[in-house]
Amino acid sequence: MKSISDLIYSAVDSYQIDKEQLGFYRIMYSLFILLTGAIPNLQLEQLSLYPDSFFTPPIGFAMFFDGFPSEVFCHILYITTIVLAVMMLFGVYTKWASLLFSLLVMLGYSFLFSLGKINHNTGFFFLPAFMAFSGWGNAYSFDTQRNSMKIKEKLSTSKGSFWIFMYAFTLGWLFWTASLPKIIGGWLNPSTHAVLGWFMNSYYGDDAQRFLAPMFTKTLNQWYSGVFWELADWFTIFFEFLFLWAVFKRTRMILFCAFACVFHWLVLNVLNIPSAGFLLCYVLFIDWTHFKIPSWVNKLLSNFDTLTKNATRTLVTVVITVGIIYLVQSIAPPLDLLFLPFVPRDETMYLEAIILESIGLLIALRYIYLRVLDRVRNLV
Amino acid sequence: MTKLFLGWLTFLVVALIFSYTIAEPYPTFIMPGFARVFDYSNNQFERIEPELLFVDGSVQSVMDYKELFPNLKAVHPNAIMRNLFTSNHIDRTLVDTTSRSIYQRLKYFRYTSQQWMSEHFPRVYGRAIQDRGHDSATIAWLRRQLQPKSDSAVLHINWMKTIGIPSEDGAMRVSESVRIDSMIIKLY
Repeated sequence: MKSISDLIYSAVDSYQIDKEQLGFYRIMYSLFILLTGAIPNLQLEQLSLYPDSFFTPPIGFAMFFDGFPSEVFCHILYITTIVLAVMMLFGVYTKWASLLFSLLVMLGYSFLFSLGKINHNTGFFFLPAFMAFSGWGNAYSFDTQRNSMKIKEKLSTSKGSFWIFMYAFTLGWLFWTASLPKIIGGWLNPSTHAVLGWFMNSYYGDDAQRFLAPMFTKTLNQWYSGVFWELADWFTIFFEFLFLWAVFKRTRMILFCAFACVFHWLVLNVLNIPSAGFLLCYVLFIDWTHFKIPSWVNKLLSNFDTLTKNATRTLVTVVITVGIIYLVQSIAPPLDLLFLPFVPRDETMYLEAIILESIGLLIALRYIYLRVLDRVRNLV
Repeated sequence: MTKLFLGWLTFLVVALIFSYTIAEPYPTFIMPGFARVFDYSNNQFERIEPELLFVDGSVQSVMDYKELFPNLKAVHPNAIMRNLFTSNHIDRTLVDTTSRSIYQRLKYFRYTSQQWMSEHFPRVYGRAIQDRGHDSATIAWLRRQLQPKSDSAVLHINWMKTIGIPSEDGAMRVSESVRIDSMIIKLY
C-alpha cells in the first residue's frame, strides 16, 4: 500500500500545468469576476439599511466587530476588491493581489452573512488564495516583465503543482462534506426519494418553475417515478462522496469535473439553483494540450504582455480598467446589461447560468463520450 | 508538502466537526447537505413562511414579509426573518424534537451546544440566542419600514407550516396550514 507521502507526490505530479495555461486561466477567472456580477462586496453597502440588532456574525472575522461596518468602509472594501481583481487580471504583484483578494472577499461576506444566512461560496472565492502560490502570474502578466529572468520554466514547479492539488483536494472535500449529511439523513433509503421532496418544495413552495422544471412534474404518478427519483438520490451521493477519491489523479479529477457539469445542469433545471461559478473552477484542471487554441485568442493574450510592458503602462492600464469597471458596475454588471433587453433584472443570473451551464454540459458530455470510447477501444 | 497537506486536512476535519456540532463558521469549508428528507406521499410539499399581520389602529393589513426588505439582495429575506423574528432558538434552528432520526438528533445536539456556547462564550455565539425581535433598534427599524399612524400599532408575525398538494392543472392546493410559532411586536 502506498504511503501518504507517495500518494501526495504522485497526485501533485499529475497536476503539472503549463504556465501559459495558468496565465490564461488567471485572465478567465478575473474576467468572470469583473464581468458577471460575481464581484464580491458589491452588495455590502445595503448593510447600512439595517440596525446593529440584525448583526449575528458567523464564527470568523466578523465576530470581532459589534455591528455592521459603516457605508464608507464598505465602499472602500468594494473598490479595493475591484482593484485587486484587476491586478490579478493583468498579473500585477499577482501573489499578493490574489491572497488579499480572497481575504477581503471573505471579510466582506462575513459581514453580509451576519444577517443570518451563510452562502457556500468558499470553493469559488478561495481559489485565488491557493493559486497565489501556483505561479499563475507567470505568463501574460506584469510580473513576467518584472521577473523575466526568473521565470523560464515551461511547466509550473512541483511547488506550484502542490497548490493546484491542494485546491483540487479542497474542492473534493467540499463535495464530500455535502454527501455525509445526506447519508445520515437517509437519502440512501430506497423509500425516501429525497430529491423528489426537495423538487416538490422548490417547484410549488418557492415557485422555482424555470427551464425544464415543469417537465419533471410529468414524472409524478408515473410507474417509473420511484426508480427515477431514487436514482437521482443515489447518483448525487455517489458523485459527491467519490469526488474526494477522484482528486488524487488529475485525469480522474477531470472526469469527475465532467460529471459535476452534468450534476450542476440538472440541479439548475430541477431546483433552479445556479452554480455557473463552479464550472470556472473546473476549467483549471482541463488538459489544454488536447485543444487547439484559436489564433485570435493567442493574439488577444499577447496584448496582455503589451499592456504591461513597463510600470507606467501597467499603472495606466489598471487605473483605466478599474475606472471602467466601477462605472459600469454602478449601473449593472456588464453581462447583466447584455441580457437586460431580454429578461427582467432578477432573471439575468438565471439566463447567464443556463447559457454557461449548457455549454459546460455539452463539453462534459463530449469528454465523457470520448473517455468511454477510449476505454472500449482499449478493451477491444 | 506532506506536513502541509496533513495540517490542512486536520483543519478541514476540525472545521467540519465544528460546523455540525456547534455552528457553521465563515469562511466555511463545507457544502450544504440538503439532508432533510421530506414527506412526499401524495406528492405533497411543505413550506414554512412567516405571515405578517400589521394592526395600525383600527386598520388591519396582511403583508408579504418580503416587503420589509425592498432593497435586499444576496440574502434571502426568509433567512433574516427566521434569524430575528422567531420566539426562541429551537424554532430558529428548526429542530424537530419529536423525531428520532439520527439527523434530527444531531441537530438537537448542535442546538444544545449552541446554548452552552452562548452561556460560556457570549462574545462568540451570544447574539444568535438573544431575542433581537424586541430590541429597540429593531422596533425603530420596523417603524421606519411600516410607517404606522397609530401609537398602538402592533406587528404580528405568525410562522405557518403549509402542506400543499398540486392539483391536476399544476396549481397549488393547500391541504393544511398550521401555526408553529408567533411573535407580537408593539411598535411603540
